[in-house]
Amino acid sequence: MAFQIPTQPYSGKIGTTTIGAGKKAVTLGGEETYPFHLFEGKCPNPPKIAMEIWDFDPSKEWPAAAVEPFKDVMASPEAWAKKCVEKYGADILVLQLKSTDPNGLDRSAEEAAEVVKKVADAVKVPVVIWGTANTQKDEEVLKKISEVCQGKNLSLGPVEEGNHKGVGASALGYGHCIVASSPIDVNLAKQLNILLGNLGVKSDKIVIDPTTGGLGYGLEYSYSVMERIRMAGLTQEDDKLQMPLISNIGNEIWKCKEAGLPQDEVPVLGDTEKRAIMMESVAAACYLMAGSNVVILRHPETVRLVRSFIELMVNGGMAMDIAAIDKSLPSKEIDFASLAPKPNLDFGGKEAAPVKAAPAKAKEAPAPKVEKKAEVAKPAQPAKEKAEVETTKEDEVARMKAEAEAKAKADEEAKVKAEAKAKADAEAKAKSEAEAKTKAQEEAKAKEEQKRLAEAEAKAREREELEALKRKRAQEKARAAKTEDAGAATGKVLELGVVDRLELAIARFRKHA
Amino acid sequence: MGLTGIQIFKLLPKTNCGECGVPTCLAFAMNLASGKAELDACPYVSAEAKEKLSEASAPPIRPVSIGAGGRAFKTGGETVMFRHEKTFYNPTALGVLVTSDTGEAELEKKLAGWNAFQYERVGLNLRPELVALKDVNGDAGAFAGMAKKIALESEFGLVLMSDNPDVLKAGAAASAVKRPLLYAATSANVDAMGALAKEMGLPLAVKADSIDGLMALTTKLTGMGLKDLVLDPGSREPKKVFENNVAVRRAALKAGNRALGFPVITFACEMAANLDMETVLGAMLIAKYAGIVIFSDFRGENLFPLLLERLNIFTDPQRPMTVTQGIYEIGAPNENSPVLITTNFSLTYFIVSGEIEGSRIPSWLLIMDTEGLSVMTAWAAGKFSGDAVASFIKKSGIADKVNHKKIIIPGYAASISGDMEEELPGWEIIIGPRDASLIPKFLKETVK
Repeated sequence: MAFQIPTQPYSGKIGTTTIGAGKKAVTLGGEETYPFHLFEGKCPNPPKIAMEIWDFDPSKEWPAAAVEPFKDVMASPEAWAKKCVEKYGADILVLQLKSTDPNGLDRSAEEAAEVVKKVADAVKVPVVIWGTANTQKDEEVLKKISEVCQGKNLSLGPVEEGNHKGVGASALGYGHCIVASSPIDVNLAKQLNILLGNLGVKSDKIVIDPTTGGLGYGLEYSYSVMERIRMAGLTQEDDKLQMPLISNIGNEIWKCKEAGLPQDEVPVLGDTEKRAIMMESVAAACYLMAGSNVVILRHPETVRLVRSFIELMVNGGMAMDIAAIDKSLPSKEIDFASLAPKPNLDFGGKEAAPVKAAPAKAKEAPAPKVEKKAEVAKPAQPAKEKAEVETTKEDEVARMKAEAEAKAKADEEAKVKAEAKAKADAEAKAKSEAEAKTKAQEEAKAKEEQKRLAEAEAKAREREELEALKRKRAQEKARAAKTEDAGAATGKVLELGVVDRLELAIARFRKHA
Repeated sequence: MGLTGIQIFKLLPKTNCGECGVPTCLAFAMNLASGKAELDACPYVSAEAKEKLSEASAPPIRPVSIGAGGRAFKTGGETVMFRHEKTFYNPTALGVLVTSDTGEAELEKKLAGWNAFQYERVGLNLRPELVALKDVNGDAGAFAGMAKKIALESEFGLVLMSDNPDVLKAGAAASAVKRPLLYAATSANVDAMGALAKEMGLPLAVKADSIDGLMALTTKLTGMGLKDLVLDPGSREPKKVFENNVAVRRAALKAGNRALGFPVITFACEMAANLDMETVLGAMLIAKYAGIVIFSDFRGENLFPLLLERLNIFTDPQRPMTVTQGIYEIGAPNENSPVLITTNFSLTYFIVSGEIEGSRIPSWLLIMDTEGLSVMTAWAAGKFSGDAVASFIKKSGIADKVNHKKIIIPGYAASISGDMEEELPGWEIIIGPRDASLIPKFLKETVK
């Protein structure tokens, strides 16, 4: 009998979200299979390419390679937007509202709304508005934009738990979509979608932003969370995770050190311009394989390569006529042989040496100096792992199924409990334990809080935060009851930075080990 | 894999003698099934049962060793479809193609140049593993000469590529020390190739233009006693290559298909017309199940992103990456340079050290072991408390390296400054920014 690919049963389907208005509106999602698994199901709306522009001229901040294609238009967001759409064929435009950052230019909501209006009028493709992930400021800015751009069906983000009510209600009122942003965590992504649902925001108005890690800077966490979200949506019928996914890639790639390092400084990293474009393209390909429905990119050459990639993966055909990167900055010839360390020609033992740096080479390799001393510390536990590899197949499947079921159940329970707990209150006996745990740190926090929020709004905000804290704590407790690892996540989640978000992700991965 | 505890139990003596360490044969069988016991622990198991069991307990995808020395690697041995289900074990090996008509001087230059592409990161040396030598003219002598040069004068492992078993044999004999992969057995030459691989004890790639074709060949070769096989399902069309990779991995893991229980080799160099597009396809191949990818060239700007991706995808999700506790020099700091402290979560370290480097102000960065937690979580968990940080600073020896007593702590840990002042009399505790991206600005303002 001829070989057949063992089937992957799919019980769910990704929903669709239509962003933008008019003829150029774009429908995302709708797939019935894992990403690009077209041999076993349909993917009616292949992934789309969005290009990002900023709301002020970032030519002094960006690496030269990213400035070059746009240097004639960067002073004007409208002109820049038009160039992305007309010249480079962006399906979607993302306007990053960097100038509203309270730690930066701190432009007002009114100013931001004015720029958005101009950009949204200048192009016909859907426009996604991306704030600075400062929940308070984003709420203020996004609400204003929502009002001013009624009917444009913009996508407003990042909407987090901390501002979902304000932005959600406004988007509902003025007819926009929501980019629901959660910190690299399947359950938090689900929870935010539930909260938005409770508010009345329909699933077909939501796009999930699982938080995007840079290449070499946490990509693996986002990648796996996205795969898990897709698994939940497609094989566990989790309708709160069946929305399209968006990945803010360009922004992460171009801000990392290696995207801008001049070749003169570290010659073995290769041509600076091509390196950054390749980093962006490689990250985009990864995120597409993990299930991204929209990849947000910066460089036109990345856009061209990634678009070709998507077409080839969807329509088939050979990649032979896709051209190499068209450089716009000058390149240098480097004699790498003269930079290379002497090879270590000791092949004596057949034993494969681990990928550890050979000391002699490490010295000569012109890698960033500071990193030399760094070592990967691997907590001991390989014995157990080895053992698990041998697990029989059926057991594995059974275990996975059981786990999945247990998890689904746990999630469900956690949700119910969390909601119940948030409404009901103090007398729960177990609660006192958690309170004892977090008390010390709450005191420290309260001290700080007092300093910062002594002003007028303090009261209202604190009440809100307390509520959120309560909910979090209850939810954490519910989770702790199911797993041993109560995790580091306490009420602090609200103000986590990116690294802390990654940290949370790790805690979750450990649980699933 | 493939047998449950009950199935194993049926093959055991069922005497419940207890000599294996557990009271019953059933308990022993369960342990075997979950990998907690070795079959050798049972003194009475029959030879027949042993054979059946060892076959059944073999990994679903054969791990194949290639190369020797520092760049030797294993490919295959994977147990899951998605990395979060456990982890991916053996990183995709990256190789570069060179043809047998390349001149000696040019080959030498290439080999030396490729050796430059090594990147240090979190204590790992990221670098490619392989050179694929392709016979283009049937000249066995020249092929052997080049194979020898690559094997003995470079660190790289080899893939020896030819349709002609005699050419391959000459190359293999000249480079046997590196345990090269022979490429490839096809329906036209399978007997000779199989015999060659068996005689030399080397891994053998198998190429067919369909998965059915592959299965016929691997079944034949394993019948000849070969174990270390690598699969090339033939297509060079990106969509089809992806489908094949999924098909092979799934068949091996989900359907227990022994004929496909081997790693897959892919040729990005034959899938696109230039290295840039090859790199994009390479990104897909690393994420989705290629054991080996061969490119048309190695260049820093292409290789580095792929090595980063590989590091990410093959990082064990069950363990956070950390850096070692200690004092890190950024730039070339002297006794007047600022001192900063943060935690040992590798991403925290990367971001903070990157920002300091970007500021161009030479600095001392103290990394404290917080078990891989980032600043805020470490602080919340009490692992970055004033006492702990102060005692680490005392022990670190930083006081001998600088002639000031000022230390910059992360903004998120601002509340520990009071305790630190108590524990570190004479030190000035400076509260740095919360967000690492503000470090350059902060340093420039503080250092004046």
